[in-house]
Amino acid sequence: MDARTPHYLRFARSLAMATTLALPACAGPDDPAAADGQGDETSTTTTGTGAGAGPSASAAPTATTPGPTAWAVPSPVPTANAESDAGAAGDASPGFSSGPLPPLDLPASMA
Amino acid sequence: MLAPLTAALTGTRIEAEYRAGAASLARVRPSTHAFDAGAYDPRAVRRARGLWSDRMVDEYTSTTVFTALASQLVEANATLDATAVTLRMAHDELVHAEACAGVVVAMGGVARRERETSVTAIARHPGCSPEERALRNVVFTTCLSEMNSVAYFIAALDRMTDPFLRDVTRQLLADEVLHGSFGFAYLEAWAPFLEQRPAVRDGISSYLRFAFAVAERAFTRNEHARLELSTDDHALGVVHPALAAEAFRTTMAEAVVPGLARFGLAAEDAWRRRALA
Repeated sequence: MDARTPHYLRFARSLAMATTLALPACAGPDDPAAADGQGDETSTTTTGTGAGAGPSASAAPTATTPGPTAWAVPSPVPTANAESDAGAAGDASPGFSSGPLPPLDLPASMA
Repeated sequence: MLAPLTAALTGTRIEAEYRAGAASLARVRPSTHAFDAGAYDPRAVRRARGLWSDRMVDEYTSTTVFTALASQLVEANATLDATAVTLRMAHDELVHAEACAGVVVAMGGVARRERETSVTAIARHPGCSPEERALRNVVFTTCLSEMNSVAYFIAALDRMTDPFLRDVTRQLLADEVLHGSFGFAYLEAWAPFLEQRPAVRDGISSYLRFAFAVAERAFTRNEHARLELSTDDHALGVVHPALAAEAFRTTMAEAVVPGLARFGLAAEDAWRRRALA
């Protein structure tokens, strides 16, 4: 590890080799909330994630049914149609974006 | 079956409880910045928005990995804190999906995507004890898969200048730090078990050959794409797949491998001889 070592590697290695978490390291210098590990109860009002919306009129309150409490961030500009972002990343997609991959069983040939 | 995914909530007390839970677990304050689409090339905005839209689907879907993993921890008679934090990580993924949906909307899109609703079962590792099964899957999901997310987000942040996207990315990264390091802490907790059972250590080491290869196949897609990113692409956090692939391999070889080796796993050999069959 030297000055040329990528930032991501220094960070990942510190996680892999340490026995305690280093959460404050995620914060920027202008983000005291992360440094002190405190959340912010104003999150819903700041992001406008649907808090304060009235009871849903939708008959089917499922994750797949958009209702009156769907996302409404400040100054949304809904210019795209519903499916227009599918594939929009094109070759810039790294594959699986985020979240853990499901672990697979070892193939019989390797067991 | 395909069905639309949105960030719609119920509008009932369930929503209030979800909000309270998410707020209590948040590590980073939500952004106070607004996204200014007019400051960037529309093509770069669309590309970045596509990534966040993809991420919305992946985050929502991947919550099932952690819930299935929690069940396997119960089968392994893991301590309740380990199982609870695994379920917390599942919750994090749902919060992330909502955050990603918010980014898509803020960038001028509609957070609605068709997705496959079937749930992929996680490995059962026939012939393994419940303890080894859980260990194998914890190592794969967190030490490999989620540690890659940590590296990817940091690589993105190193180039990303948009203040709104930086804040949301930090929000996700703060949780990924927990997810990525969970497996190392779990191995620490199970170190006495492993020390007494060299056959289990060998079994996990053997599995790592395949696990590294599976992760590499997933995280290095498009690495040879002929893609030129603009200054605006970088400002919006688009990472060239070639850099993403480099970050994956470097992180595995120089962070994850030595981290796993601390517990007597033959990770270096497994990485060097990684194979899908």
